[in-house]
Parts: sequence; structure tokens; C-alpha cells
Amino acid sequence: MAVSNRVRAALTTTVLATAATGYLAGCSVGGENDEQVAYCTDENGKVVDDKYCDDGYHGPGAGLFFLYLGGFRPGLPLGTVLPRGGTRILPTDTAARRAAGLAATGAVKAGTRVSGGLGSGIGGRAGTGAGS
Amino acid sequence: MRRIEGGIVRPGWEAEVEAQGLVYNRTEVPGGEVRSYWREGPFYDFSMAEIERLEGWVAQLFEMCVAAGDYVVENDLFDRMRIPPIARPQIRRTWESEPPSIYGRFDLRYDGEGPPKLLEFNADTPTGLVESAVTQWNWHLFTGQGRDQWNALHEKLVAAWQRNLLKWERRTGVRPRVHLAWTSEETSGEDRMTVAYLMDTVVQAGYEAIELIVEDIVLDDGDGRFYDQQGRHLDVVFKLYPWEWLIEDEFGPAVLTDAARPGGTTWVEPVYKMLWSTKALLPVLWQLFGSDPVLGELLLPAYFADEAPSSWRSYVRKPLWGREGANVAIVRDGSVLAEQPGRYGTEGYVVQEFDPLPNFPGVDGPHHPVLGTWLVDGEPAGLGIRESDGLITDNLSYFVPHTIDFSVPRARGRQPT
Repeated sequence: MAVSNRVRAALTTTVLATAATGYLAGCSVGGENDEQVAYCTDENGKVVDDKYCDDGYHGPGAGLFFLYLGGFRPGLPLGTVLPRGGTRILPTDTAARRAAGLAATGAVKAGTRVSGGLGSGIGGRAGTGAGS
Repeated sequence: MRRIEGGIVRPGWEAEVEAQGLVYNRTEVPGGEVRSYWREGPFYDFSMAEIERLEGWVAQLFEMCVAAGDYVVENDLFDRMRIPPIARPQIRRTWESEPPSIYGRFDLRYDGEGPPKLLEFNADTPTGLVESAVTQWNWHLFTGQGRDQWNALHEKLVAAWQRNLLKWERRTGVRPRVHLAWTSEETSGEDRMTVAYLMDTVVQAGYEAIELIVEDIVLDDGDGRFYDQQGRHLDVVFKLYPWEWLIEDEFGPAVLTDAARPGGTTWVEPVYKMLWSTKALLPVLWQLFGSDPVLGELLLPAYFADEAPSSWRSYVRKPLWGREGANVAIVRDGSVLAEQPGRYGTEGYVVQEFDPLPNFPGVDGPHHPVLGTWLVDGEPAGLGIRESDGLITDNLSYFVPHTIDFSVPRARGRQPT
């Protein structure tokens, strides 16, 4: 019974070799924190009530409110001014909302997390790797 | 089984093993010294008959684990095993439906005499794959030492993806793309290289493979489904991230809900692997097979800590969900002989009979090997050996390659002229 690879030749491991070369050259992937959390803000980046970013909102100021995504902490209160550098999406832009991982229509709950909700936490706290 | 001390040392081997993927070879030990995780020179050697016996035992152990899983599910022993309630419905469902499962690793105590003893089953997120499948295979081919090596990992991994993904494709009518995810918390490069290597096997199986960071996985607030940052749906995700962490994360409940519905993401390894990756498997196996004159030989007596015989004075205590030796303690004659630090154990412990690892001493001191025997798609597929100076195999152990039927080369004499 054969207990080894039938082809007795060096393995083709292109992805692995490329990743190793990149790693040894110091190029990292994903080292940054890419978590994305959404809030409804006004044009100045101030957190406002979720209802203003419902695509069905047609009241005062309609068109001047934005769904704003970035590496923010969930649970920030109304009135918090969020830092620049996030992604601004018009509440009526269905395609952009969908692409960002948000419901295509309706209001978005403040502090909704679209990424960064898996990983990070427990492994670091336990002090050992994820492998075994 | 024997340890050969003076094997070939390849010129430039350190750069070579790194370039082949072992970028985490240099290990900083407490005190700041940097040493090589890969051992170049020494290796273990087995006879082919011995490897074939080991292969049979590994297949047998896997069948026993399947029976133990059936027993837990049928008798609803999840509480006893401390498996979180939120995961149970999906564990039951995947246990029945058998979604794709690719690999796992048994850690065995083996000294060359008689059957091996199961120490634990790394069923969910086993690492040590790059060195087993790639580094030692290339070492074997290059040095020409040994007639063979127990190492069909690469071909069996490719075949495992083919079989499982084709089955998935027939069931859903969709040709899946496979995302492979590692956590950016792991900075040594080990997890990333493991994923990169598995991507090679996915590609060679004929499917699209996409690298992904666990932290970048997007949960769509609208449809409750999972996507990558480019908006591509996650059909099948291999995650090098343990289930017991994943279900505690913020998206954990959504992962379980989504996986249960048609068209949801398929997570590899499946969540039923929690039945095996917990040390609670050990007392269940002992309860089922400990008294069997043949199968019991593959196990060490093990109990949940609160059910251990009062007469036990020497044993190993392991936390149910520990990793890499963390919080493992060796108790001899009632007192702790050795203990690894860590933060596990609040979930409970199992105790296992203390059967010290064998010693294959060299000029540099004792060497205690653990055999990591690989299963791919439920079948024995290869061997990787880690050895430690001490009795607990932790993340500071060394990887040592192996051969089958090594014979010492005859000294080259002068050719007659």
C-alpha cells in the first residue's frame, strides 16, 4: 500500500511560495484593522437619528444625511462627531448600500457592524495561536 | 522507530525552508534567544511494516471518534462536554448532513513498542501542515534519505477538495468559490502560510481560491449573509479559526443561523468538529472503548475531572478547550510536576493517565517526540513529528522529519582504475 504521494517530485506550491516571499520581504496583508461600523450622520459627520438615513425619509434636510462607515466603536451617542476618512453613502444609493454590506433600503441601526465581527478578540486574550 | 542523529545537513537549508513556506521557522524563546523550529540533520526512521500498522491504528481511532460522536449526539451529552447551547442545533445538523470536512490530526504517544496511545484530536484548526506536507517532503526528496516517507498529504488534500466541492456543487447547482481565512491576530506567519498552502490544494483541485482575513468578513445587515470586502458571497469558507472562539464573536450567532439555511455559507471545518476538538472527547472514548481488549490499547484512561478515581495520584490535567499545551499540568504522586501557563480552564478539565512520552536521547540531551498523524477526508494521510526537551509538547517544540526504511549509506571507496 502506498503511504506517500505517487508523484515523487517537488510539490507545486505557487501560492505558498509567493506568500512566503512576500512575507519574508516584509509585505503584510490585513495587518490593519478593517472593521467597518455604520452610523447615520449629517453633512458634518455628526451622528443623528437613524430615521434621517432611511431611504424613504423626505423631511427637512433630506439629501444632506449620509450613512457613514469606518472603524468606529459601536454605541456612540447622538451628537458625536465622527472623524474624517470613512466612507459616505447616500441613503438612497441602493447599489452602494448593498456593496457596503448594508440593507439596500430602510433605516440602518446606529453602530451596525458590517465587518470586524469575527476574529480579533478571544485569540489575543488567550495568548495562543488559532491553530493547534 | 529510531532517531538518527547525524543525517545530512543541506547547505543553505535555513533560507530554503523559509522560502518554501516555513517563514515561522525562527522561534524566539523566553530569554530572547532565536532558534530554528525545523531540525536539520536528525530525523526519525520507521520500517514500512511499522508505518502500515500505524496507519491501521489511525484508521481505527478515527472510527472510534465517529462512534463517540454518535454516542454524544444520541445521548445528548452536550452539557457534560460543555458545548455551548447555541452551537448544538447546528452540530446535530452537520453531524447528520456531513458537509465538507478536509483534515485533522491525532497526536499520539508512540515509542515503537505496541500500539500508539491517543493524546488528543486536533480536529478543527490543526497546524503543522506546511512542515509536514511540504518542508519534510522536499527534505526527503533532496537528501535522498530513506526509501519513502509517510506523506500522501498533498495528493489527498487535492482529492479531498475535489470530492467535497463536487458534492457541494451537485447539491446546490452552484460552482463554489472557496475563501480561506486566517486571523490577523496570528503574526508569526504560520496561519497565513497554512492558508496559502491549502489555497494551492484548492486550486489544484480545480476551484477558485481566495485569501481572506477573518476580521474582514462582512455580515450583510440586510440579507444576513456573509461576503468578502469585494462583495463576493462566501460560498465555502475554510477558517483557520476555532469554533469555540467564532461562536463567541459578535457575528457568531449570525454564522450559525446563516449556515443552517439553504444557500448559506458552508464553513470548513464543520461545527461538529467541536465534538472532537474538545478534550472532553477523551473521557467519552475511554468510557466507550476503555474495557475493549484491542481498542482500549489505543487509549489512555481518561475522566472528566470531577469523576476521576479518588485513588489517582499521577495524571495529566488538560483544560477542555486549551491549545498548544496551555494550562496542561502533570501531577505526579499528588503534586504538580510541571505546568504550562495560560488562560484556559474555567470551562473545566479532563484528567488523563500520566504516561510519560518516550525519550530518544541524543548528544544534546533528551528528546520526547509526539507523532502527529494526519487524517484527510477521514483517511490516514501522513505523519509529522514534533519533539520537546520536556514532557509537555508546546509551541516551543521542534519539528523533526522522518523516513521509512533508512539504511546507512556505505562509505564511498575509491573506484578501481
